[in-house]
Amino acid sequence: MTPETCTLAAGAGDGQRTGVRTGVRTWVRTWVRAWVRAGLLLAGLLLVSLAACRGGPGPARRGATAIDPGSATRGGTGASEGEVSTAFGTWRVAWRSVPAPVPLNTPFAVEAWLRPAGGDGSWEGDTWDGGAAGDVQPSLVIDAGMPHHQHGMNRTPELSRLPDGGFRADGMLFHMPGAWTLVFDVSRGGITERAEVVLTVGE
Amino acid sequence: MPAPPADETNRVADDPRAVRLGHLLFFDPGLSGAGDISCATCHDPERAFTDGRPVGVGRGEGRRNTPTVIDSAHQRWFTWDGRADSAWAQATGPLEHPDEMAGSRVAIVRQLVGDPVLRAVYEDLFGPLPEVAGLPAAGRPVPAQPQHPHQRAWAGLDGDRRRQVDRVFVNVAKALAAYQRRLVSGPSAFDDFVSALRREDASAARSLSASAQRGLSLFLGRAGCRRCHFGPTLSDGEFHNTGAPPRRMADADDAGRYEGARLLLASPFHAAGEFSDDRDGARAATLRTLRQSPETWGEFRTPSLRHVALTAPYMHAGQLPDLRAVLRFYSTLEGALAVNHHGETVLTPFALSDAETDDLVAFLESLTGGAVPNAWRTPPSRP
Ligand code: HEC
Ligand code: HEC
Repeated sequence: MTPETCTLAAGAGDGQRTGVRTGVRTWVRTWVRAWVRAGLLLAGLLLVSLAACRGGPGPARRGATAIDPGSATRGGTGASEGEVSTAFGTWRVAWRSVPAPVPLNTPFAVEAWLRPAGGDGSWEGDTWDGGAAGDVQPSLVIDAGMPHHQHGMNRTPELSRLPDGGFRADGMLFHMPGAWTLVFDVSRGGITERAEVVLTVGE
Repeated sequence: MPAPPADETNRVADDPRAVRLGHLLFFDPGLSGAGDISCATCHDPERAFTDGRPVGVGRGEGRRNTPTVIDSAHQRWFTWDGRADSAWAQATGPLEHPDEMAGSRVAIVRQLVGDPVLRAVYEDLFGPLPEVAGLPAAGRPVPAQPQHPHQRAWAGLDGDRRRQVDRVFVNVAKALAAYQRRLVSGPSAFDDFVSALRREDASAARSLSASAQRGLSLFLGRAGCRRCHFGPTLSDGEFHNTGAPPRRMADADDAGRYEGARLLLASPFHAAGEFSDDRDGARAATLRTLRQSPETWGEFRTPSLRHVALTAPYMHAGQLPDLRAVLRFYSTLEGALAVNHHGETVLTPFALSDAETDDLVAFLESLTGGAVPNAWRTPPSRP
């Protein structure tokens, strides 16, 4: 597969994701189902296109376009959305990057939605009423780092809430190619549980 | 190499009148305190806009190596510690730094008013210069030294006067930035190689020697250089701690980015400040997410590797004399300074034979671009 076809393959995923976005806005269950389907599809597409790209040109050739002096960045190759559980299984975190895939060395945002893992499947937000009366709203902190290299991001993302109750971190930056860990710390009532996702960008 | 990104914080960045003013100013020693040092003293066009010294020498000896300003408009952060977030914010530094040009913004206003050529070009672009009657001969803020004559003169001016002077000072800096944006190089052998690859052109291989191609493979592969050196300038534009041994032990306490981030946020000239032409733009937004953490102690900006073969000596304090010394350091990490226990651990030693060293050097040499046009390398004619 040529680099052009690789780009095209990644582009084909975009259409799926646009569908997903509308799903977010409309509402929960349909959204979850659509999202999981699209996520799988996208992941599949990416894997296929990547495998094809990897198999292609020789090292210097592949690399020359990898450091690509013609463009500041290259798209990431990891997942750009997903769903994870926190360490003790209390929460589910659905997340996506904006733009997708996560770009190398270019600021991006992460959006995330919370839901109690054992609950009725409704998604957390300002409007959440799935807990007992008087329950405190959970909060979410989004950050990232490169554990292999013992460093975090060179930025502290700006956290805000989305109108639908989700969370958003702006100003994320993965400045190095390689494996990054995206971290979601969910806190409620003084207890914090972490969910982690490993993403690979620029490789 | 693509054109440098726009600088929204400088509305005259691409105005030819600003380029002309900046061109005049870059070569004008009249801006310095004693009338003997210009930007071109250290950024010498005949040395690829560097000085060939370990550290810059102006009125005094500095602590940092003089980087080239060719293609510097691609930078995200300026200087080794990134204490400026635009080329114009950067230019305000050397004009007044006591070890560099040792000038002062008040004297610079006087210089512009007194020079008919500069005055005409300035006023055509920015409007009338302020009256100099009542201004001291020199003056600038030196808040840390209340008794400094420059500080006393500055403190003696009222707020409106200071603002007028600051405005001219910033306009001078913006014109210098506009000129420096024109210092772009022609394509290098490596660029030719990459564009040939993009066209799927079989001649691709020929524009880069076999040795340089082997060097490129090492750069991307086993040597791991691409983790920090990628993109148009072969730099991520961000900060890392390589631990390169200091030239003099006295330099080992250079805090690098840790201090740079503090200076940046304290500067009145950053992208979100009142002199920026894009206070709500992307550069300003970046300031809000800047991480100030002890992790950044001893980190320096990954330098561009464009023209690197022409800009010895290397690293932030010019501590390594040539490219072979740089490669010896990376491959052995000999003498690496462990300044920070919390710092990143990206670099690991790797085996590098003499032949492979030659290959990497050949690759680094292939990054030298075509010369900056002669018109920009010489002072402009004055009518
Ligand atoms: C005394 C020598 C000297 C003079 C004079 C001087 N510079 Fe520099 N320049 C340096 C040094 C040293 C650095 C690196 C500073 C640091 O990292 O702390 C530098 C950095 C820069 C950079 C940053 C480049 C990059 O890649 O980040 C630019 C741009 C620049 N100078 C432009 C200028 C301009 C414009 C002037 C005149 C107003 C000037 N310099 C005068 C020595 C000098
Ligand atoms: C961890 C990120 C990182 C990696 C990996 C890395 N560099 Fe660097 N490089 C830097 C930084 C940061 C500096 C500046 C260090 C300083 O001044 O203390 C630098 C400086 C240099 C310089 C000096 C340039 C100048 O103008 O002074 C050269 C040449 C260089 N690197 C080449 C390489 C090569 C070749 C490799 C692979 C063997 C490599 N680098 C790997 C970050 C990195």
